[in-house]
Amino acid sequence: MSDPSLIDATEYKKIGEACKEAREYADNIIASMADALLVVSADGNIQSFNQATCNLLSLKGEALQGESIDTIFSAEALRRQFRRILKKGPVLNFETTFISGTGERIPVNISGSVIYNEEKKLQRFILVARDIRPRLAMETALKESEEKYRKLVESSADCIHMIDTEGRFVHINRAGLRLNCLKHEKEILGKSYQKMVHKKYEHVVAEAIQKVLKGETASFHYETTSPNGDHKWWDSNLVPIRCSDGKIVNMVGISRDVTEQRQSSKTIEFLREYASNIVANLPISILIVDRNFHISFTNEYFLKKMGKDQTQAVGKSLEAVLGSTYIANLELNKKIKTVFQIKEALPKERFQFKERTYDYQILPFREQIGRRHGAMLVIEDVTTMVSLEEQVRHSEKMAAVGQFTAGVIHEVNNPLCVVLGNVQYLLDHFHDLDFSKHQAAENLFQTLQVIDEEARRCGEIVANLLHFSHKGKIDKKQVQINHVVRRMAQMLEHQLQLSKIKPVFDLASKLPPVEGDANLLQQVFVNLGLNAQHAMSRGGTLSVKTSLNEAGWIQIIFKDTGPGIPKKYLNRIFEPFFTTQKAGKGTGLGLSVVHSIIEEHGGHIAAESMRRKGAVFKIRLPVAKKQGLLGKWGLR
Amino acid sequence: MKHSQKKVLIVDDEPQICSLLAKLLKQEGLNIETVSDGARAIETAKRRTFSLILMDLRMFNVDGEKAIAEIEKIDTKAKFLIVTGYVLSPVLEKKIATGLYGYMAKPFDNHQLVQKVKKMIAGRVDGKTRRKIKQNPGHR
Repeated sequence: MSDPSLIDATEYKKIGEACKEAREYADNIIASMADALLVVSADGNIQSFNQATCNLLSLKGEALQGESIDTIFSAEALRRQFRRILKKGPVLNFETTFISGTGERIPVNISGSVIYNEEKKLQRFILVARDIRPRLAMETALKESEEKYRKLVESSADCIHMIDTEGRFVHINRAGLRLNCLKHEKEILGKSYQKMVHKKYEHVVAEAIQKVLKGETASFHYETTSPNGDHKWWDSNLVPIRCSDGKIVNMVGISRDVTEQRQSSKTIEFLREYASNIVANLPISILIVDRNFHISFTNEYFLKKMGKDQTQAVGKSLEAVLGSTYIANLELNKKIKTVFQIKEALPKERFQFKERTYDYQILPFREQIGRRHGAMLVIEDVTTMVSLEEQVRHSEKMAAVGQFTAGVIHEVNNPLCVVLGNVQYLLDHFHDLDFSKHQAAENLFQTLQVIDEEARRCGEIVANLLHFSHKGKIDKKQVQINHVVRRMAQMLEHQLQLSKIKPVFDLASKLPPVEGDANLLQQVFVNLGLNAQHAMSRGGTLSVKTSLNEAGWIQIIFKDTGPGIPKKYLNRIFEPFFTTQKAGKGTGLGLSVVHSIIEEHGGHIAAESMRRKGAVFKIRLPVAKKQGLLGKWGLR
Repeated sequence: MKHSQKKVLIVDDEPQICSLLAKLLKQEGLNIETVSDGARAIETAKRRTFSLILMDLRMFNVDGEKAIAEIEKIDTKAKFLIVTGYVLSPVLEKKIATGLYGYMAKPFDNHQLVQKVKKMIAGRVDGKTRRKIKQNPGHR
């Protein structure tokens, strides 16, 4: 009995309530949306909107209701979008600008749909507008930061380049172009990094790329030659660049041109080597001593002299290396301490060690600026120099003695001449006397003979000294030294035999002649022979050797087996009147005459002696100059 | 005596040398005159000619070498025996070596000196060479 068309009021009420519920639900959603929602009629009037719309546009609800959409859209933008909608269909998504109640332009992203009625006629638009200002701000910030980095890369002084996973250049900065002497990117982009470097570094770059592809950072070094021929050294770092999924897409390399540093470090290396070569090869011992009196450096010469190696000297105490006796005797530690304090060099001093003479000096030394002063000990072997100095002093002395002697001799000579002459005159008269008748006369005669003998001895001394003071006036001829030696041997044969001395001769054959006076040279050899005879009073061997030495001098060596010459006398034996024999036994002039004659011949004589091993006299004489045609014609 | 006509001049600043030489040569019958320096020797040579002149070198006033040169101007035939303990100059040494002058070193042996004097006066040793040199002055 009920009419189905009749709907129960309760039912209506229920439906109404459900509708109301649904509407409230939808209204709530719409109201709580963060995006603005607008429903626009086909004729462009705003039919409804949510709270977010009011917020976005800074307007009150009343100001929007029923208003034309033109009030919030810029007309041009609206027209453009609507044309698109008509063409492309009902769903739209575009960015545009709203104009707020305060006249502010608000960029928005709009997604909207079109609702058609049953007749397929455009009924209304539903637009959801989102404020895109935060997004735009973020985009701008991104752009700025990109620009910043781009500027950074471009303005870098180093070569910054991007390499793809194949090892080809993708990008290079301006500095990179300049440093590689390139005019344009085109010259390098797409080219292989590996092929840019010197052949011997190709594998270095290849390995670096492989390493970076594994996700590591590579530091390496290589050399290049620019198109203009410049040779360059590079220090390079290569790092991987990943995309968002972590895959390596590129590599960025920073290469620094280190050519200058490299060259200056090479120069430093060269200088260091140069200096250390000098120090190593100087014939001077150098020791650096630290504040604890430990050796921090020695040069090779010192090590060689001491027969030690580096490890036996460096780091060891001065005592351990030089021996404590010497340190104590020379008061080295005290002196070094003084140098530490005053930071000034001490004066040179001299010491003797194993028959050699050394000069040493202690100087302040600082290894590095800022460090405290250590000390440098410099030791120089001056034996040769000292002996040369002594020789010079000696010859000066001899010259002075010579001058003095000449003066004395001339004064002595005349009275001596008178004594000798008169004694002889008297002796001649005694010859005619018959001593058997004049017994007393015999005594007188014998006395006169003693006077005569002694006066003659004076005469010999004077004659020798006369020669000594009479230099550089010899008649030089070519003389065969071996002949002179043989003649000396004949002269002394008898005397040597009496003294039980065995002469041994070793005469070099084919010796060139010397230029000199054969008689004077004979006197030299006779004197040396007699000297040896006196030295070997109990017999022995006298060996005489002649040879041509390496320097082209004739060398004559007299060697005896006597007691030798004490070292303290070696320098004095050539001085006139110096003798080790008893008074009255020798004149002390023999060797001085030898010395003076050899000097006159432009030669040199030196004595050497080893204790109890006899004496050695070494004579050097210059070889006679060959007579060329000029000489033969007397033009020279 | 065969030397009785021969006159010898002795020049030495040492009186004892002069007297020794005079003593030795008088024994040989020579006529001896002595002077003590070069200047007096020149003066004496101007007045008299000598068979031989014994000349010391180092003397006060005019020395021997200068005196020889002066006397040679006066008497071109004068002969000289240099008796000295002094070092010879290279020039004199050369002249002695070529036989122009005789030479006897002090101290001398009496016999050797007398022999030398006799030979020079007789012109047997040094005279020959001397004449040769005098004929060819370029050699000096």
